[in-house]
Amino acid sequence: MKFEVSQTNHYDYSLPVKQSINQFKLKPIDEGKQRCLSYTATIDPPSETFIHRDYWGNAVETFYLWEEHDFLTIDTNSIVEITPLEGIDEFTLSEEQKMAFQTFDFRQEYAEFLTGTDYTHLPDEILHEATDELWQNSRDPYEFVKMLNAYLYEKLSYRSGATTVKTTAQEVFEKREGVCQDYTHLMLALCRYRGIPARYVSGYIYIGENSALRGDAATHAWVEVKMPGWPWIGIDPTNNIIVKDQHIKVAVGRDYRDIVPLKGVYIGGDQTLAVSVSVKKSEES
Amino acid sequence: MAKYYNKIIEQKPSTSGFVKTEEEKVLFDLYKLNSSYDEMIDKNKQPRTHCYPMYDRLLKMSPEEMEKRHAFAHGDFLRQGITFTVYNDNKGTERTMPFDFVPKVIPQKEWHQIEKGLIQRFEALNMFLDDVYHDQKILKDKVIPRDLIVNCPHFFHQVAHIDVPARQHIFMAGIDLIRDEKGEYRVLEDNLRNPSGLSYVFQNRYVMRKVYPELFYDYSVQSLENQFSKIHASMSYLAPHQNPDPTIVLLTPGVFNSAYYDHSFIAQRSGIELVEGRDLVVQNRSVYMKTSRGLKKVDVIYRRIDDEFLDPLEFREDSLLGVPGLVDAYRAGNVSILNGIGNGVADDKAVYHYVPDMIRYYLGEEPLVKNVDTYLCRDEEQRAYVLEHLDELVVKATNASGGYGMLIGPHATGEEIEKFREQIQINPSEYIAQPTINLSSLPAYKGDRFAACHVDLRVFIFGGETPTVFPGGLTRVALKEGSLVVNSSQGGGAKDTWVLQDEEVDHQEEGEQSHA
Repeated sequence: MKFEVSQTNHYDYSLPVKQSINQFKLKPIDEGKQRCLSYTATIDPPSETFIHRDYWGNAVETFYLWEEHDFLTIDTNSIVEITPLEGIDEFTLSEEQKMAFQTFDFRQEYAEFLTGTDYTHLPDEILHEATDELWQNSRDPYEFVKMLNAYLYEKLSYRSGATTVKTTAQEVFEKREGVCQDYTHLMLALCRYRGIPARYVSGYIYIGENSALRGDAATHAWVEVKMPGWPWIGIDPTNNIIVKDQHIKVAVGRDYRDIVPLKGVYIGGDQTLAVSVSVKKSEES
Repeated sequence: MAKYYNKIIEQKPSTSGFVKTEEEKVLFDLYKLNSSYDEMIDKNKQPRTHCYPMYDRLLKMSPEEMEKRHAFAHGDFLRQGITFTVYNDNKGTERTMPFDFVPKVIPQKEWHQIEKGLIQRFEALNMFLDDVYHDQKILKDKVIPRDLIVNCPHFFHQVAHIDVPARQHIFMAGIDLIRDEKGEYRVLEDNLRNPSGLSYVFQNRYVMRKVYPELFYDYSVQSLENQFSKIHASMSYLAPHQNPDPTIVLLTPGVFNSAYYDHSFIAQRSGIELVEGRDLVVQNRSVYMKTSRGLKKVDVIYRRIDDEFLDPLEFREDSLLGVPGLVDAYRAGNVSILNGIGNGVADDKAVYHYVPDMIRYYLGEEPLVKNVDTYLCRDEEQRAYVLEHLDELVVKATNASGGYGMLIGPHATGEEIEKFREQIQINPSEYIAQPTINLSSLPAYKGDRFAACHVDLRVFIFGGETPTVFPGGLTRVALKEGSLVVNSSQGGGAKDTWVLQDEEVDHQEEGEQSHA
């Protein structure tokens, strides 16, 4: 499947702003089954962007606006092609694969994605409470992940505005509501607790005609888990689905902090941000 | 140069110093040696060869004279405003670091070994830093457990893939040495972030020369005079694009920082600007300093601000001390930041355990200066051992500094031990343990007598064209008798540290036997 993605971030400032330095991670990642065929970023007032690749493999762009300005627009456009991963709806891990989770080498290789972070930290009691039954009733960690996906989908109510970008997994567990970022943080915590490497993915979801899918103005977040012998597999607890070819990956990391799409420091007035996103199936083949 | 050696020979046949004078009875008869290695007096209660002239001089000074000079020296520190701030004591008090005038004297041969060992360590640590922020070969080869590094709170992924000038991440290392019961030097701790204390080294020497000039008469002590031009040369060498005439600044958090004295002293003496974050800006990936004549490009920043506070764009957004965009300028290769960002991953107390392995891995050599044995509580077997021997061991939190978050088993109450036991069980990976080492001792002046007080030694190593060891150091002394905590924030003091120049000292190692 091929998509045209465009996103516009528009800031208005209450007072003119100067000495502004900004950093964004908006370029779809070129990894695994996803190809970023084209990508452009346009800044207004015009500014050159400097790009580097971060530790997680994401493209990071930095730009400087020294002179006074009273608005800022960042426009990105990309064409992305995704081939779905075969056989991920249903598979059983072999005994050997199941054993691999506990091996030193496996745990070392994915060390970053097995540890707790400020966002995902949960007390042991909660981790037990939330996962014990599912863990015992699942034949292997992959089945556990799928059951957990359904469990979170049932357990939490999707409500925009219920939480903020700073909300932690523990708060989500207690409030039992949130948006995709919150579903994701909680799922990360529960997978890692059971020794399943899990990472945060930010991106877009193609809703198309299927209005049943949830996603805030098409920007989305979900989880990827690592099963021995498999590439990273996307799991979307906000929609209780396994990711195929309707999720466009932008950035990956341990939690939201590693993928913050857009941030900046400047001198001047307050800002208001308007974001618009469009994800369309590409006509070209 | 033969002055010192001749003096010894001259004195050998005479009996001065061996005759018990009144003063000696008062000052040294009560001097109690314990199981630790005393650096001045040997097991037979005789001064070690290289300390002989010092011992002799001390005996010749009357108690009244000593008292007078001691007060004068202390006043000198106050007058110069040499103070440090103690954190965690709620009063925010500035104190002077107590000074003890009996210096630590290091014979040249002993110093050569320290130098060789520390340069070896410095090089391996630097290669380690470059490796973990690039290809992580040492982790792939499983020499060090990967999770210990990548999940270390001081590992900053923000600086991954950055090629720092000359690939030197360490500009100044402060390595803390101790001597075990046999007198062998061992590394207790590496400080690769912002080691402080250099200014005290100079001030101790200054006061020492002024108040106790005659103690220098018998020794050729390596001078500290030219050191700041060498330090400046090291900074210049590490400038980006091999700029031959770089603009260098020292970035301080400001006057309220505990080491502000250190910052202003170093800036002044090495002839660089002392700036705060608000004096700097980053524009299009270059750093500029605000001056009365407009912006001036900055090439090298010797920063004394912790990593997390350096750049609100990439680290803590609430930091008001830092400079937005600094990391991006660093990434672009337009500014050098000394010490490098992310160095804390190499001086972490658990990573310390693996430094000997780093030396073997990167240099193919055996470590010349050994570590202190370390048990990692993250390891189940080692933890079991630690929990069983808490009353014998020193336990340290991996993320605390300055002697805080530490348990000295043999000196701890049962309650303290139980508190640590609980903490270790909850967060094992945050603790390490080491056998309690009886640090070596040196006489410290106690008003009416000398007491054997435990010491350690911080040695400074500088990068640059070739790494060099600063010929001196900060000898820290636990002035509370019997105490093993030398940190200034915990009642420790300082001594002047003399590195001898005389090649002849080599012969005296053998001469020691005849004294004993």
